[in-house]
Amino acid sequence: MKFIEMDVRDEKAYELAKEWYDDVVFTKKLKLEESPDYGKLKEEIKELRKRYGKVAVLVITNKPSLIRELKKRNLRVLIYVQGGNMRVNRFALETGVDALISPEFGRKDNGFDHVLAKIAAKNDVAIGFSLSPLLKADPYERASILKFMMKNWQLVEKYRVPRFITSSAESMWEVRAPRDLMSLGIALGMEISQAKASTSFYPEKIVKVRC
Amino acid sequence: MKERPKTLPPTLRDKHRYIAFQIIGERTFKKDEIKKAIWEASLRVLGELGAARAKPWFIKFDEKTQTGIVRCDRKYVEEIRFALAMLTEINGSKVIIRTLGVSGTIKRLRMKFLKEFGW
Repeated sequence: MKFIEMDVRDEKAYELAKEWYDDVVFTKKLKLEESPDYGKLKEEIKELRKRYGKVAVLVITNKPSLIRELKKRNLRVLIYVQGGNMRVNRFALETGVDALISPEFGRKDNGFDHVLAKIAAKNDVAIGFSLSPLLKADPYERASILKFMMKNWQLVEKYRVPRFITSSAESMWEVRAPRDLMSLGIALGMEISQAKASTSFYPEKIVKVRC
Repeated sequence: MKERPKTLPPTLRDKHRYIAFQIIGERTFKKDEIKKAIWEASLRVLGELGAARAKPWFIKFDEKTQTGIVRCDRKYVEEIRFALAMLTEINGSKVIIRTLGVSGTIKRLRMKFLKEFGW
C-alpha cells in the first residue's frame, strides 16, 4: 500500500512531503480571470513535470466556462478545481475534472448537496478534504469549517463519491504525516479503514488512471 | 488511615496509550514550551470536557532529538493525534508535530519508535 499526497503547492513542502509519502503530486495554482496563454502554460507544465514527476493544476476561477476550456485543451495533467463558488462547484462536477478541492472553502454553508454528490459519483470526480484552511482559521472559523466538512463527508459516504484527504500545503509548515492526516478523516467521522483508503487507495486510483 | 487510596484492581484502572511524537520546527524547543503547547492544543481542539475524557498527560521530552512521549486514554488516541496535528506554532515560531506511533507501554514505545533517536 502506498501513501499519496495529492496536493502540495510549494517546493519546500514538496521536498518534506516526499520524505513521508511514497508519492507526491505537485500542484500549480492557476488563478484565472480570462483564457490563459496556452502555449506558455504548456511550456511551464512541461518544465514542472520534468522536475516533480506528477503535476496537477488547481483552477481558481469564477467563470465556469474556463474550466471546460482547460479540460478540452488536454494538457496531460490532473485538473483540480478550488471549490467555493456554487456555480463553479456544479460545473466542475458536470465537466468531469479530476477533483474538487474543499467545496466549502470561504463559504457560510457547505457548498455541496445530495444533487451534486450524485453528479460527482456519476462522473467519477473526487472530493478533496484539505487541512490547510483549518490551520489558518481562528477557533470559531475552525469549528464551522469542521462542521461543513463533516456534513460533506456524510454525503460523500452515502453516494460513494471518490474522495481523498490532503494537506493542500502552501508552505513547508502545513505538511502533515500520513497518519496525522488520517486523524483529520477520523475526526470528520470516517472509520479508520475509510480514512486509510482516502490517503492511499483513492489517490492511487486517480493517479493511475489520469496521470 | 493511609495517605493514598489503594491501587485499583486492573479491570478498574484507566486504560492508557502512549504516543511518541517528533517536533520539526524553526528552532529547537524546551521541554516546558512543548508541555504547555500540548495542553493548550488539546484544550482548544477538544474543549474542557473532551480534554477531561481524553486525559492527555505529558510524559517526557528529549531536547536533543526533539522527540517525546504523551499519554492519553486508549479510546481517544485519534482525538489527541488530531489535536497535535492542528498545532501550527509555539511561542511564535512555526512547528510541525509528527506522531511516530502508539503503544500500550513506554518500554515498547521506546523499542519500536524511539530507538532510532537514541532513547
